[in-house]
Amino acid sequence: MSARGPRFFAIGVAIAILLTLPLWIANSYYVNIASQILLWAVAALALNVLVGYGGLVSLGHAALFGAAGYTAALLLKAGHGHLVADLAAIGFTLFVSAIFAILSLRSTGIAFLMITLALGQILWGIAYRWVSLTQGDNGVNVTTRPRFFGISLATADAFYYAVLIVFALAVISMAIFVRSPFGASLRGTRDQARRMNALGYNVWLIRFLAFLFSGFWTGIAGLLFVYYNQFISPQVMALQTSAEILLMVISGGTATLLGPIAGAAIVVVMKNVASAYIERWNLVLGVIFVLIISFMPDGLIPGTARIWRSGWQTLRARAARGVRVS
Amino acid sequence: MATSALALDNISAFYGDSHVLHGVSFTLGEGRLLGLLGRNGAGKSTCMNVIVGLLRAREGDISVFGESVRRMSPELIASRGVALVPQGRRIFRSLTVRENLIVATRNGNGKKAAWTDETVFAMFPRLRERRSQLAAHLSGGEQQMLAIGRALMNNPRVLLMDEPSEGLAPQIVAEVMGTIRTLKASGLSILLVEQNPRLVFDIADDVVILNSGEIALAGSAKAINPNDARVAQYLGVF
Repeated sequence: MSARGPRFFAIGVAIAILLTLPLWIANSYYVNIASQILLWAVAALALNVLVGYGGLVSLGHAALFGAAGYTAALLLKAGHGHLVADLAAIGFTLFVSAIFAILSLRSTGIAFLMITLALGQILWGIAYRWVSLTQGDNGVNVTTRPRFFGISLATADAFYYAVLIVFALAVISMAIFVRSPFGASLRGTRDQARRMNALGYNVWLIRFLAFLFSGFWTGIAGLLFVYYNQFISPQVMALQTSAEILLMVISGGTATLLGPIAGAAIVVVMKNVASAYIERWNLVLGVIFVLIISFMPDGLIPGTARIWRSGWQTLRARAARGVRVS
Repeated sequence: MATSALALDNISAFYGDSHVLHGVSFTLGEGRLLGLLGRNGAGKSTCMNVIVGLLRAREGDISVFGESVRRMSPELIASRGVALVPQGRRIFRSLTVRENLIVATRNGNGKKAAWTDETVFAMFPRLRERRSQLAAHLSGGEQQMLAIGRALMNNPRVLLMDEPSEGLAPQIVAEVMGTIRTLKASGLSILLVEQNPRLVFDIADDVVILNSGEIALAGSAKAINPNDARVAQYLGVF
């Protein structure tokens, strides 16, 4: 079996599980949890474009997430159709992403993080205080979900499959992005921005386009969120949401495709499942992150792969010694 | 007289308040190899950074094939066909060998690119064997080959090489010098910065020796005697 064999096998198993999940989980509550994991994974994958591949840590992505959700919710409330609301939501999110990028890409590192944090707080403040538009803390209700090629998404199973399709598109687009020359050039700007400059690249433009790509998928995740909950409030745009998405990326493993998905699964399961049994679930979540960062500083997925490889090599070495002795 | 591929005219450059280059002028003829020599801190790498636009010259002018590039951004200067093999290689360690080459791809003036990943692999077969490996896992010599290959992917008209022999084993240095000879024979204009004068006098058409940011000695490699007392004085070796 080639070195890629186990990987393809694992991917095949994962696809089979995802495709058949509603068939062997009868409880719609857990199907909804799976939908949440997938939609937050889309948001985490989007942030990973900047954090993992661009070396730009943003704490303002909840604002982009919320911008899409609010735009769609407000347009639907005003009587517009789903297509118009969704397209406008994506368009507005790209517009906000462009403004965020123009203002924040004047710097990198801690200054970039602080600017995105400040911009995110401004949008949160607008959602919270502009009551005549956003209904403030009361939030905005969305009464219906769209129909997907004529299929109603009202049930948990149907919505799960719709989210799964979007999730698959997100993963495929990220995989193409990572392997593309543009993805390589973004990683080049992360590693050595000056060198990329000297090679003839406009580093700012590469980062700007990456920000738009990240903003696009964050907006898509925001749309999924608003349709899932059929409600949006300023809480969605708060700093805590940005921090949670960032934790998903860091805990799972930056600059990997699987890492943000694993991180999203941990956070969503802890928030929704563990919180039902453990009152201080935030404490447990914190302990889990401390353990991950302590023992796998590069994140859960790269750390597990590293431990797996070293364990496998140790076993093979022992087996070889055993053969020689006998 | 040969056409000028690169010309520095009375260049002065500063790091903050520190005056590093004092009115440096020299010309690299088309298809020629100019060796830029000097001790540590003489201003050789600063010259390179000024040429590629990473450091702005405060005075003077730089032209590439007659076009002034002094006020251009680094990416525009690169688009004029100037490529740098930086000191210490500075390859993208988290990218694979092939990705390192791909990010540097630029087709010169819309013409069919002379250098592609395949032609680079033909020149450096060891890189072909390691094309899917992370660049961080290459040996020093292979990293130097990759740095040269990456610069060639830019399809340059002027190639700047900043101490390509630094930290390499003698056998690898000989390989790198062989590569530079091949590139020179292909008609590429090359500015070679080195601390090792033997290598430069062996390969260069013209030599410029910098001392404390000023030109101490300049002329054709044949006209300057490497055993000259002044060469020993400015370079401290030989």
